[in-house]
Amino acid sequence: MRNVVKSFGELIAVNEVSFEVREGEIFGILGPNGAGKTTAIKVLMGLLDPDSGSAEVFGISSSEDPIGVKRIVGYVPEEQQLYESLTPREIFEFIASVRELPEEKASKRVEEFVRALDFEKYYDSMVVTLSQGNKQKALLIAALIHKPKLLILDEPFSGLDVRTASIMKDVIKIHAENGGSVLLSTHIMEVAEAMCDRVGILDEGKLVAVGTLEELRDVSQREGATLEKVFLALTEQEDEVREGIDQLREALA
Amino acid sequence: MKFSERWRLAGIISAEVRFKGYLEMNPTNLARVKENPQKIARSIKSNSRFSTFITTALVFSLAVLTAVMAFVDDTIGVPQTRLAVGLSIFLVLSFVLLIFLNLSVTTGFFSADVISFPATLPLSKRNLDELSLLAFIRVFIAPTILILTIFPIITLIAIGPGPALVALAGCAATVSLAIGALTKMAIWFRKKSHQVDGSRMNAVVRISASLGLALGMVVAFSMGSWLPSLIHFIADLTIGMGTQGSSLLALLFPFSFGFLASAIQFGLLVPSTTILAALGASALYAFLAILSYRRTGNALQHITVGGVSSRRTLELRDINVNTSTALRSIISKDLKLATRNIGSSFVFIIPLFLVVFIYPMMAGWSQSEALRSLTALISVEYGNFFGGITIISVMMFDTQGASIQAGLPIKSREVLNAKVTMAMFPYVGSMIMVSFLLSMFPLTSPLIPLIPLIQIPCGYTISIAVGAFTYWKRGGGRAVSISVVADTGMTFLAAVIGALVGFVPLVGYGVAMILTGNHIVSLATQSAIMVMELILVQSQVPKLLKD
Repeated sequence: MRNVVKSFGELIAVNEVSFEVREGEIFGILGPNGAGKTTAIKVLMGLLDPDSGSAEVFGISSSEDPIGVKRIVGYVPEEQQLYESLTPREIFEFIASVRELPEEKASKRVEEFVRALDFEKYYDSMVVTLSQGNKQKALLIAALIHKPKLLILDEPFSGLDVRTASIMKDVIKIHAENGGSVLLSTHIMEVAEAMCDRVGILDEGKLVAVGTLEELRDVSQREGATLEKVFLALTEQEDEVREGIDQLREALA
Repeated sequence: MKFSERWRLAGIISAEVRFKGYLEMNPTNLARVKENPQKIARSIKSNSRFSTFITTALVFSLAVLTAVMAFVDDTIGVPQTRLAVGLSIFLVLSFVLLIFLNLSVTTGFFSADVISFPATLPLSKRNLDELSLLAFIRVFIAPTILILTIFPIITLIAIGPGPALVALAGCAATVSLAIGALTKMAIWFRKKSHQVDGSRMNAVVRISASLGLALGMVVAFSMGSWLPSLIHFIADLTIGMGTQGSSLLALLFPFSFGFLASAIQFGLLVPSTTILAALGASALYAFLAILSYRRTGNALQHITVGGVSSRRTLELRDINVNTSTALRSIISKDLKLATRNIGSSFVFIIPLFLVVFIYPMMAGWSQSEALRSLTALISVEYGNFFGGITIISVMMFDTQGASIQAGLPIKSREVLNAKVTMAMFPYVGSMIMVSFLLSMFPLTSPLIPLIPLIQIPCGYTISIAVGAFTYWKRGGGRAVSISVVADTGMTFLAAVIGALVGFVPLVGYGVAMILTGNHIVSLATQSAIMVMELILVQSQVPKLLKD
């Protein structure tokens, strides 16, 4: 992504953002709610046109050939807007058909995922009856069904129980270990710290810093600090957080 | 807890019930409720007001119209038959109205969590049970009060206290039985629409149920135009059947109440066997109504806390994936979505809706003279108007699956082609229906029914033009979905564009007819203009679309 700017009316959602995700790495975009993470991802997916700058995936331009980008990317968006009155079987059949996957290959891959994620029981149940965790599993299988080179996950751990979150983490790691790349957006610092090879910190549409945890510690001059502390320092929120906690302490006393 | 407090709380719960029912009916809003909750809430509020207004107007007009025909119109049989049939027809219509106008709200009531918030408050189980029942009563209170008051009051003023009392009892029994039937129907429909066992039979039941319910709603809304013919028909039938026939009819619900009211007013002018049959049957139906009231209360308390089970009924099947072409898979997906939701299934009954709409017009015009080509042109133009709404309704299905659509490599043109294919079915059906209806009446030329048949390809032009314009207007050219209910502006625009695009070949026909007076030349002109318009639209569509 190079110098991407995207605004909605007066609001500049993404401002001169540049970063790259390398092959075989897990790259995390960190930022508070409304920082511009989802907008940046949508530009990369070709779902939004940037005002200026460019985005490409493995040499394919997101704005000129969004269909080409979607062919090699697996995307799990933040919102779980699935077809509520279809079953996962029907959704996977729809996806495999649109992606023109060979029936045998698609069946084998779906079966492997369904068994690995303990999803057999829900395979023929309507999506509307599934829990949030099971919906997320369905979205993950949908994103992985075509063996994508790049997996893009927008806040994949929101509202998940421990077991499902743990499975999701394993899937992401295995995908990267097999040479696939992962772009992960999250506001959960512990997840990013434990999983990401490199992270980019996005705040109010601007990319504040990019690098490994060590590199970010150096930039923020917080030696040995957790990613959370580094994040607060780089986004200049330490004082705000301290004041908020003081007020809370008084309110709760 | 005081009754006033329980009543107020029940009001909050019933508002939530309406909200759930509305979302159930409009899948688009289900997906967008997080994006713009205020807009959805406003839309639900205005929809709820509109629904209350329509229900009130419908019940009021039905009561007045039936009463006028039963008590004033001398052209219908003898007075005792008029009263019996008039009251019975009002009860039948009230039964149908209560069921079909409240089905969506009742389905919403079965979303188990409507009572979950009050359950967190320090309330006893008995209080919670009462709350759920009160909330249900509040949903139905307006139409129930109207049904229980208007017709009995008119009867009291026009005839006297005896028949008015029977009318009141009949109305109460009807309301109770209708709510009982509605509860059972809503539970059954919710189960069927949330169950997938892969069997063809289940799919057939689901599709039939959706179409039947959608058609029922259309019929409920258009009752006023059919009422006079219905009363005449039943009255003639009753007189034609003689004493035995009327006694048999008096055994059936709700005719027993009608004949009982007539017997009280006119005494032995009504045959004694009919009086006995009406008396016995009315007592039986009153007993069943009380039973229905109690059972509905119990079922309701159970369901609002536990929800309706929609667990699968068959064993696990093989985990395999059957693929097809992209176009077929989109159509197959849309068909499944449409048949699992009452709101969506409306698209497929548009031809029947059109029939309900234009039949009285044709019947009225044909009384004075043979129908001209102008009748056909107007009817086809109605179909064009609905054609614009159809394509946008089909586009609405995708809002549910935005998370899936966003990541899929589908070209906007491919999505549009699939939607256009779907939209063609109702359009073709509409044109065939118009042609069939025209052929039922005397015509100035036997070629007139060909006008709608020749117009069929124009369904493609209308759909592709409206679809591409919508994608351009709302998605900057990308495939988007539109809510027919929430985005009324776009829906209106779609209907207007559909009407305009479909109007052009009809104008061609009209001009050729004025200039030559020849039907064959006019039909040829209609065809030629339609082909030219199709070529023009096809060439412009790619300019509007973007992937």
